[in-house]
Amino acid sequence: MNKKTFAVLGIVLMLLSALPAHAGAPRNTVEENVNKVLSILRDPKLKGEGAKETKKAKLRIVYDVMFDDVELSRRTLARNWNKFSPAERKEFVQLFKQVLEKAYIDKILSYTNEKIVFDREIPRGENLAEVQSRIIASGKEIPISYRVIMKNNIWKVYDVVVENVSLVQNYRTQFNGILAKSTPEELLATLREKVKGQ
Amino acid sequence: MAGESRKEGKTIPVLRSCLIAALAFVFLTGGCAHSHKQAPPPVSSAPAALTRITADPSASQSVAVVTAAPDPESGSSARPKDNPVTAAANPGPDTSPSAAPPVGPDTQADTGEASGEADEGLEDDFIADDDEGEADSAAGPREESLTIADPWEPFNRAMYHFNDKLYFWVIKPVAQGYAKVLPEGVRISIRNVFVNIAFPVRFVNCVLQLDLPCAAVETGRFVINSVWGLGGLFDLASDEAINLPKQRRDLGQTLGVHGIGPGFFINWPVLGPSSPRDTIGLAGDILMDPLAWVPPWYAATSIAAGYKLNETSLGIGDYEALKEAAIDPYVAIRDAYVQYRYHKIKQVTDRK
Repeated sequence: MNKKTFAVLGIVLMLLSALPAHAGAPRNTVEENVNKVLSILRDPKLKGEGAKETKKAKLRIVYDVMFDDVELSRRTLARNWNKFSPAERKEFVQLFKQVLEKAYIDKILSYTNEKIVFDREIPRGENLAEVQSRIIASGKEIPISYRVIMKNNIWKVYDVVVENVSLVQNYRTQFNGILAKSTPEELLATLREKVKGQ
Repeated sequence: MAGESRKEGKTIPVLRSCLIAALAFVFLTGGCAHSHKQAPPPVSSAPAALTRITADPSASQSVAVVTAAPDPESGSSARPKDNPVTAAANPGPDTSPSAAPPVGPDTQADTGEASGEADEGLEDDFIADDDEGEADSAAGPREESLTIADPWEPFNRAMYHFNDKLYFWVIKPVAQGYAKVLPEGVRISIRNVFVNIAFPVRFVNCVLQLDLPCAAVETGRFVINSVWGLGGLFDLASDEAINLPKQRRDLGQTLGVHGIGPGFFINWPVLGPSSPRDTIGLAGDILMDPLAWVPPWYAATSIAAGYKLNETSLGIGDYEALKEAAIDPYVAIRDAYVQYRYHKIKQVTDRK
């Protein structure tokens, strides 16, 4: 009887403590998503050139779960975000996503045997955190951090920092320079070109 | 690719036990160094960035890492800004409880209707460290935090195009031919030898940065890699069992650690991104590299060119990827350089 009560209490306590712990585990979320990516990349059924498009399609699904692309775009445009109309913002988010895909998909598809190690998770305020990881390849390590934000209890990535170089900041500097001289519409035109041409 | 690192371990399994003994020795001499290494963020593990940043005409990597970044002093300690500044600038999103939907209006799925003020907290990324002054002055939007003056932009852009052509027309084809002749494992060993010989550069900079654990690690590495790594052919010290990773230290960084700002951006022909501070640092590092003192001057120059060729062959594709991903490649490279150098200095100052 007593034992049972204890057991129940114990379980309830565990559940209670597990809930916030889970919500507060940016690292787990990122790691889970990265593992999904790896399992797609290493899927023996998806070998060869023919399966490339299938792989890409599967990766896109993971990307949408893993990344908060609106947040990423907002932070990239920063104060310039205000210069964009709602429609322009929408288009920017879509175009920027495609620019990133184009830029990084081949690199990502080339990763197969590299080992990925997850290290620390650094809280940065109540709904922000940074998850550190390393890619170990060819005898050298590449540190990669994921900056995540929690919205509706889900952690999503809004910036990736490779070797201490923040992707969002890197593009922000570029867009700032461009938007100092051009209109949002002109920037969108440049991005459309970028996405179209290879 | 990934096989290469294994190779080092496999090649010399017999020496493993000797290495354990060496490890014990290192523990005695540099024990403190070892222990400090576990705790703080990995300091030394930032390898390819520079190769990447300057991938085309890259400065020789370990021998002389080029430099630039805003004054470390101005930015390094300012992290708390996240809360105060943001909260002030933007009462909406960031102050509301994290779980509450109000975060949403502008960030939620539809990209629309963000209210003006709500967006001003945007730029305050984790890096946005050094804008506190500006934030006080005007409630206006803050510039992105890490920038560098670029008064020479026309020259720099011209040099960017020069370096770009140099890479695609000359350096890359040569490096590709070279890579065809020598397998990657051999090229990594060649790199290791160069890096090992340049030990004084890193050691002296560790000391000048008043970082004795770093100096101890470097000394341990030099002994282990010279003796058991067969004259530096194998970087055994970086192996997991020994775990003494290379301490990438350079004079530009040392100057930065002591509070000297980068000045402004310079994109040198051949050498690539730099600044006045880092150019001086590069010159000093070269003077500390024993290979620069090999007698006839052209021998030293050839060695440097050989090293550069070897490095390029190991990083083909990095510059291409960066360029392809960029909207304005010149600005992308300049910014990557600024961020990389800034954090390289910050990593040292943060630990003190």
